[in-house]
Amino acid sequence: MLFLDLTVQGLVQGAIYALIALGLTLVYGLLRILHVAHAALFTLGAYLGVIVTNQTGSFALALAVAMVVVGVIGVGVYRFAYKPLLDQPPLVALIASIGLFIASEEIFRLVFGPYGLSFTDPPLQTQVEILPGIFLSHARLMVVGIAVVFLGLLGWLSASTRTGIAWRATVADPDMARSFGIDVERVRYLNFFIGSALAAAAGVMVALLNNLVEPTMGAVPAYKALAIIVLGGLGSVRGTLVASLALGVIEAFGTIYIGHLLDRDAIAFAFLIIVLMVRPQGILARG
Amino acid sequence: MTLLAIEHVTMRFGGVTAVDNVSLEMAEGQLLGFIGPNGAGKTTLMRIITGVLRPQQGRVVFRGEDVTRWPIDRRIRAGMGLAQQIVRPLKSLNLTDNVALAVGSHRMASPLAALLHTGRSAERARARELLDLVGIGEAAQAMPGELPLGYLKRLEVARALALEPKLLLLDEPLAGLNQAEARAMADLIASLVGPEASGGRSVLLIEHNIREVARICPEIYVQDNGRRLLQGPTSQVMASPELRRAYLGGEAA
Amino acid sequence: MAYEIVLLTTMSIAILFALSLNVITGFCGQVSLGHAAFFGIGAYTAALLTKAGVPLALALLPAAAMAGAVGLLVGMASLRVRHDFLAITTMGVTFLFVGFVRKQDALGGEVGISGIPQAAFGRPGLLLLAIVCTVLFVLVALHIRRSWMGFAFDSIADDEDTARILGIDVKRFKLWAFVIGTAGAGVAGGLYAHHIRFIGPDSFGFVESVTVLAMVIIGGIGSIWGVALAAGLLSVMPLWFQFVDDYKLLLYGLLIFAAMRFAPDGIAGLARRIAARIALWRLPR
Repeated sequence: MLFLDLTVQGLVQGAIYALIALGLTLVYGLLRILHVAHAALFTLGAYLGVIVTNQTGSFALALAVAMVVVGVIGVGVYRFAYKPLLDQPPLVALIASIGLFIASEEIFRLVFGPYGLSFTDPPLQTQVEILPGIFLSHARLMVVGIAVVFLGLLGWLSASTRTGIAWRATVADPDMARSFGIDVERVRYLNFFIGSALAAAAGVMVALLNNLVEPTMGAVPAYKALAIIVLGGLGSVRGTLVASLALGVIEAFGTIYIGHLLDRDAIAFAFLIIVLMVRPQGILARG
Repeated sequence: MTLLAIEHVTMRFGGVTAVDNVSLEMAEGQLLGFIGPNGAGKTTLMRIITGVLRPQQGRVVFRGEDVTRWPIDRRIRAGMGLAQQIVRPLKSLNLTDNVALAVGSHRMASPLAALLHTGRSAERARARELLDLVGIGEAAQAMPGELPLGYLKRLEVARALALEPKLLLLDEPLAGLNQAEARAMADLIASLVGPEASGGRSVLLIEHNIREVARICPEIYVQDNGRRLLQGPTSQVMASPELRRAYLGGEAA
Repeated sequence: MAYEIVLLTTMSIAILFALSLNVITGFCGQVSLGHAAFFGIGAYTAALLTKAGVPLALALLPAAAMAGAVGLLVGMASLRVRHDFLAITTMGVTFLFVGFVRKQDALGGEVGISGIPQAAFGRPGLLLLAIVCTVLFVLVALHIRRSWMGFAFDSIADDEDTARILGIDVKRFKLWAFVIGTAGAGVAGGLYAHHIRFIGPDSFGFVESVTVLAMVIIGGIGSIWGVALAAGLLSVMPLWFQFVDDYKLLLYGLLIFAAMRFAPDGIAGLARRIAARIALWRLPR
């Protein structure tokens, strides 16, 4: 029973990780930048989700607004922060990104206050029995649902549309793509829009699960999502999904069984290091 | 005296056999030309000798020691020197320092020894001599990024020479040079072995430029489709029908 | 006077800490996002020893040895991964360290270790010790630069594969860089523990690792003087920014971002460019 319960909890957590980490993988695949500030967009999405829900009473509207607004801001981050740094060694962009992340945590604190916000009337809290003896709230089910729908949509988009094909071509070889007449710059904008929108969706869902958003809520996802994309083989979308779910489950079990030795984050990174020692290129290496 | 012995080496990539049961011996003081059409597995064999690749079967014996499992750097320290087909200069160092680093490689045999040695002027002076020798002395202070390919090919050769190797492995050193440059480089290579050159150095020369190979190498080894096709004195190899067939292709010829 | 001593001690420790990372990341080209863990190992080792009665100057040796030994282990693990994989692996080291310390009662767990004794001769004594250690490390770094080890590091930082073709045993050189760098961080950590006199797991987290990396990069990766200058300035910046207390971290974050955006080669690179411009300007026309 405990086994099943932990697995389910782990998979729900894994779905959230997947939503966050996917945007990061997309950015890495395209630009080779470790985009730490991605987690700031996740936090912003969470704030927008709570604020819009509280103002309008519509959770669906809040989710949509958060995704669109954060998507646009993500494009802005690319345009003004990363684009000028593309010729520099990757470390420069990484440090710039960390600086941006530190600054944005402070902006959230100054704008939204240090104590965080909650839903005045948290939606989707009803519990459902999904398996005998295992209950999940509608909110948790929705997390999984959203992850499946968006990731499925993304898979379909990249496999079956012109834009998707241009996108994959750009990831594989930007110069080649350019010579085929693909507007690489547009692909990058689209990439940041989608990745950031997914991070916002994850932020809204985490806000719902915890019924709390605070300025520092992005800190742990920021680092863990990096671990996940590295585990997944850096730039591999499928690897990222596998790594997200695996990490969610490992953490769920780890905190129960070796929680007295290491805390949750340390377990995640211990797993990362062990995997990398065996497979230095991640679970699913690219190419 | 055998310097290098390749014994029944086989290397497969997936379903493709790039090198198929090849054996080859090189004596001290020998200049051996190594030719073959595109896809003959020349570079693969070279990589097996230097240790970039580990063959599935067979061994590589260098100066009497089985080096099949040794990493590249250990083989270099044991007396191999490599000039690669695709140039890889150290971009943050000027040409002199690129070569000086190789001249002083014995100083870096262990980190502790390296830590205890300072002073680079003797190595830099020797590096400039070597750059003069390969004909790019005037670019000694230039950075690799500022120079055309021809210079960088010669930098590769100068750097390999700087290691003072017993066995010099040259992978297409003439590629990208014009006819006069290629001739000068070939003369330089020829001068590295033979009676007037210092103590028993051998050169294995992979080249597409068969004319220059035939001109300077007393002996030629030919590989085709990953197999040893023939080996012998240059005049004999050049006259052989198998060589013609390998290059002109087709079973019909 | 007391305030200046605190300020100078803070700067000195930060300079030592940043220069120790500079050996690994600047000289040898191995990015580490986990350097604070070794700072922490040094801090805990030294603190436990001085609480047991060992004088600080002596306790710094085991602090260096302990950090260096763990650094050797991490270095060996790091040999298997490169570039971004390496950055994230070393980042994991910080989280492992913090997560481990949190759960160890012997190390004070969440609460940390307090009541760490003063250095001999109090604060001035600690400052003197810090300056001596920092100067010694600067001399070591300068020597490495001049030695053939520095030359080998240059080649490894530039292109590992080419370094191997020059006969350089890349793995062993990397391990030396890790050991020298982490041992230096251990000493800095030992000093820090006796500067603050209270340590807990949160003093050695990811933010601290990033901060020290930012010092190295803003100083100009590999440049001893640039990194020392950046470390000195950045370490006391929070104290200077007291007047804007609420915006302190915001400014700090923006500063890091702006430095990368407008001077990606750091203070050293900026200085080089300015010098070049002056030289040009002085030329007779």
